[in-house]
Amino acid sequence: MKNVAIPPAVTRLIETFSELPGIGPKTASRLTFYHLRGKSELALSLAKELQNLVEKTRFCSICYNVTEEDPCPICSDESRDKKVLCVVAEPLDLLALERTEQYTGSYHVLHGALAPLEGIFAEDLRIKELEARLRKGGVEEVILATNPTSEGDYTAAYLLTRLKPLGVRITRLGRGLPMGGDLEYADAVTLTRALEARQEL
Amino acid sequence: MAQQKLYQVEGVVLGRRNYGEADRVIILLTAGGRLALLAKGIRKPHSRKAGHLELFSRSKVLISRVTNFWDIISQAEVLTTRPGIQADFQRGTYARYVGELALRFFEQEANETLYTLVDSTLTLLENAEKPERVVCWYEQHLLALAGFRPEWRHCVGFREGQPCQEELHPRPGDQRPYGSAPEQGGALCPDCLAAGQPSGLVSRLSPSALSWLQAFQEREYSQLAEFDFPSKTATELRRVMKRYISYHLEWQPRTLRALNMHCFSILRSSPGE
Repeated sequence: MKNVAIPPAVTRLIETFSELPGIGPKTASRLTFYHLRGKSELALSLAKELQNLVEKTRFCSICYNVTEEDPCPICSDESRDKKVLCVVAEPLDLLALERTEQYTGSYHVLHGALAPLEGIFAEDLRIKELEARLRKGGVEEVILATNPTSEGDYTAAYLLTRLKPLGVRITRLGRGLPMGGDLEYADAVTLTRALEARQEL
Repeated sequence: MAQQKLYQVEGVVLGRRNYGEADRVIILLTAGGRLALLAKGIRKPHSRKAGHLELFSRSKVLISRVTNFWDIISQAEVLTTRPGIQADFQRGTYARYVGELALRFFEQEANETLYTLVDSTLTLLENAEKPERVVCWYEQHLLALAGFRPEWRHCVGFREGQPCQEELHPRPGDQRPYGSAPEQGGALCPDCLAAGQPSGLVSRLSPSALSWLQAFQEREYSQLAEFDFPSKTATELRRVMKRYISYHLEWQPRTLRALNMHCFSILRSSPGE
């Protein structure tokens, strides 16, 4: 039902907000009215930042990470090891790995994981581009850092069949018990992997 | 009668999708039917449930009933993990196909036989030497269970207005091919195939493929495991059953596409190996 008491600009913003993931009509109204009552600088800077996001960001032509300049800062950084390539599913996974400050190699972002039931197939991911990158040479090791879930494992298994013939060393991120976790609640697969990869102190 | 607030079931995880910030909806196939359940916080690394609700694992779960919302999984304990399926792309694709067919052919009705069939097929898929043979066997039994049992033993053709019904005993030396007619729901004898109107749906069936179809339908898997299953027959059955299943399902199974693509990539890479 259309409410004539609310100006169209407000209704339109509510509708736009509610198209965002995880935001329902009530949250959308709350956000809209917050901007209506709150400081106008915040609303304007939000608008500007969103515009910047759309206009300035793009995918890096080498690793397909989100970037403002092409190639991205990681790909153009001379000090990073180009012989090691870490394959991640999403740009957020790349950020998580960067936060460790332990990894100094380069990346490749697939933008998703294989899920045939949901209609995501190999051609929907940046796999062809990864293959082309490896064919060019220079990469000695590929680290498959997809999620340790069924979907991530399935994607890694597929990548293995595709990349094996290219003759590079292929590794998978280690798997074990999470920091702060509880042994009692660990599943058999995780515990088995943790036992296999135990380390001498 | 008031329903219990907490209940416990055992089931196989056939599907999952992300929900909200860190939750996941889990599709669990149980003997009492299919359930869609919400597993809260399961995507966080500290989750106590995460490893217990992976795809294709058989788990025991404790569920809280919530009115007007998803039922929520409060505890989960994995009984069978099936790491062999997770680590192998071909087996993983076949397992997804097994799950997709079960979810497409059946609604939420209770069906203990379906549950046992899916669970035992996944176990076989993990260990069997030839996963494609397991899938062929599963297709025949699932179709029978869903009420679409193909007739491979008798001819389903019509000649001069009369049903043919000839009993089919394919031999390797047979000169003329048999046929598969999804519309009529089964096999055609060589005469009916030759006499029939050419149709896009009818496909030719080699004697060896037909005898395998009969065997898959009438035998248990363990009785077939020792016989040689040539890859040529596997490819032929894949094609015939794809046509049969998409005709009756009125829908092309999605996972089949990944399956075909995979077979294609194997063909492409095999000469070099």
